[in-house]
Amino acid sequence: MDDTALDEGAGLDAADEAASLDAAAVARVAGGDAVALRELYDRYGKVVYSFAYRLTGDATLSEECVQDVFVALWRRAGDFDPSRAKLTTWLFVVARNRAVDLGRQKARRPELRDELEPAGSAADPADLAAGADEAQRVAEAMAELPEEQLVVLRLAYFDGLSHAEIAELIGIPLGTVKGRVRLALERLRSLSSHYDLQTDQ
Amino acid sequence: MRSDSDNTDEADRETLAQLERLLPRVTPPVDIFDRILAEIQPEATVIPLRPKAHRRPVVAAVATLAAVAAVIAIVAGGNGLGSPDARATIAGKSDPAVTGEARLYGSTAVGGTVRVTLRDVPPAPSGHHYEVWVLRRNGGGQMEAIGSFTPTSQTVKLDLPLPGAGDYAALDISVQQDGGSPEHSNTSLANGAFS
Repeated sequence: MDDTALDEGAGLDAADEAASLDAAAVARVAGGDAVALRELYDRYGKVVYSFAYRLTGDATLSEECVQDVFVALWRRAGDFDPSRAKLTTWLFVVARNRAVDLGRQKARRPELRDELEPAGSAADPADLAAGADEAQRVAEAMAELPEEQLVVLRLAYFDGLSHAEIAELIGIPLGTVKGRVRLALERLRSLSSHYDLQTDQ
Repeated sequence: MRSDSDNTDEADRETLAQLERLLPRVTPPVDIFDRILAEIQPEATVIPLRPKAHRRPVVAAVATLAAVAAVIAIVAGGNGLGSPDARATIAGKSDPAVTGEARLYGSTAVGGTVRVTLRDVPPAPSGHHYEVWVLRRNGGGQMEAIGSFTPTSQTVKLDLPLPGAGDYAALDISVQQDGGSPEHSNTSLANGAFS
């Protein structure tokens, strides 16, 4: 129990630190520093894309959504107030609104739907949006993992690299990779429990 | 102990199954940030690190790699370069432990040098090496490779010739596959912006 408490405490500290780094990066973006935007895209771009894909069921729309989210961040960074919301919350709210809009546009335009997806694969936007709350919470939880855990989870989960390949790529021991993946999954589990997410299909 | 481990593995599998239901295992095309950049570039004062393309032919790149490996100086100490034009604090990306600094000398004229000092550098992964890139403001987003190295210790000091006079915005160290594509791998060991 003590270990768990320590882990959770460390996780919260790391999340606070990540939020602080995000706020600093957004301030640089507001000053016109595109390197900072790149850093934020590297950190969150894949999770935002996956979230958009979950909502639209469409790769092309998801790409458009991710572009719009980061362009919006660029243009509205000066308005971002870190005392009112975390950047991760802002990103996924904007992504969700944009994905829903894009999904509606697709539904209203059959020619676009035909162009974007093969016959028989069209998904009902209502069905796709049904789990949006849950997906948004998990996406935020993943994005708020401590950086060292997020790096290995991104490589393992989205890029499909084995633990050994990750260890080789970033030059850390295999056991460290496994430990970070496990800690990341434990933290997602604890956050899932916190958010009372459904675990059944 | 074994049942604890089994329980943990089972819990991890359930967590992954839940993740897959909510966040599909899909990845965006590698050029998405280029598209974002294209949309904002007129508004940007500093161009981000992702190269649009590194257009050197493969053969030339391999030749350059060998030449640069020979040219790279592992600096023993001292300066001898005068005052720097600009400095960049280098921060680890794929390995957050990496820290360091880059200093530009004579960068506004031909024959300039960038001095790179890195600490806590991990060994290059098997079959890979590190490559140093610079980005010029108003350079069209094009990264330019200026040297490669395979570290022999955790502290690396390099003096590298700059590719020409310019207003340099950033420096990036990528993880590259030996004999692989001459383009930036999109995996950055570390990078930083000059100021």
